[in-house]
Amino acid sequence: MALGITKATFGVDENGIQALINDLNTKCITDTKTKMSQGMDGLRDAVNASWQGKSAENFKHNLDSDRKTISEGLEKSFEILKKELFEIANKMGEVDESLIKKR
Amino acid sequence: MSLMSFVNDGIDFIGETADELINAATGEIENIIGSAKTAISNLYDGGFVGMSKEGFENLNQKIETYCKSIEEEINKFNEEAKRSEAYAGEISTAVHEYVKAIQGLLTAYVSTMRINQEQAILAFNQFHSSEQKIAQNITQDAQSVTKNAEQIRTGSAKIALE
Repeated sequence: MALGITKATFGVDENGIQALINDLNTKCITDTKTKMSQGMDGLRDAVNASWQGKSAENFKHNLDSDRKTISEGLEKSFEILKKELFEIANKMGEVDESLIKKR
Repeated sequence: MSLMSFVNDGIDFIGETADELINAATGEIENIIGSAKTAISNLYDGGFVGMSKEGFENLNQKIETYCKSIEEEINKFNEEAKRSEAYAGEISTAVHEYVKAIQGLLTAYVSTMRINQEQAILAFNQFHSSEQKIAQNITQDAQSVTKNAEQIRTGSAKIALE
C-alpha cells in the first residue's frame, strides 16, 4: 500500500518565509508609503499655490494626520503578520523534525 | 500507531495550531485597521475660507489623481497575495487575510477622501453662489446710490438755476 498524506499542504523553510516577508514589506508597505508621501507633496503644493490662511493650514494638517494614521496602521498590522508567519513556520518545523528520528 | 496516522496526526496538529494563530492575528489586525479607519478625518474640518474657485478646481483634480495612485497600489496587492500561494496553505491564508485587511483600510481612506471632496464641492458652490448674490446686491446698492446722487445733482442744478 502506498503511503498517502492527504492534507500535506505545507513545506516551507525560514529563508522562504523571510523572502516572502521582505517582498510583502516592500510591495505593500514601503511602496504604498512612498506613493502616499509623493502624492502628499503634490497636494500640499496645490494648496500652497492657491489657498492661504488658517483653513489652508488645517487642511494640510488633516492630510498629514490621515497619512500618518494609515502608515501606522499598515506598519503595526504588518508586524503582526510577520510574527504570525514565523510562528506558523516554526510549528511546521517542529513537526517536521519530530516526524523521522535518527537511529 | 501506523506511520500514516503518525504523519496525519502531525499535520492535524499544525493545521489546528495554524488556525489558532491565524484567527488570533486576524483579530489583532482587524482591531488595528478598525482604529485607523475611525481615525480618518474630514479634510475640510477647518472650512475653505480663502480658497479661489480655480484653486479649488486644481486641488480637486490633484486629489483625484492621488486617490487613483493609491488605488493602483491596492490592486498590486492582489499579485502579492497570489505569490504567497506558492507556500503552504496556512501561510497563504495568513497573507490573503492580511492583504484583504490592508486593502480595506486603503479603500476606506480613498473613499473618505472622495466623499469629503464631493461634500466640499457642494458647499463651495453654495458659498460661491451666495458670494455672487452678495456681489449683485452690492452692485444694485451702488446703482441706487448713483441714481440718488444724480437726483441730488439735478436738484442742486435747479436750485442753482433758480
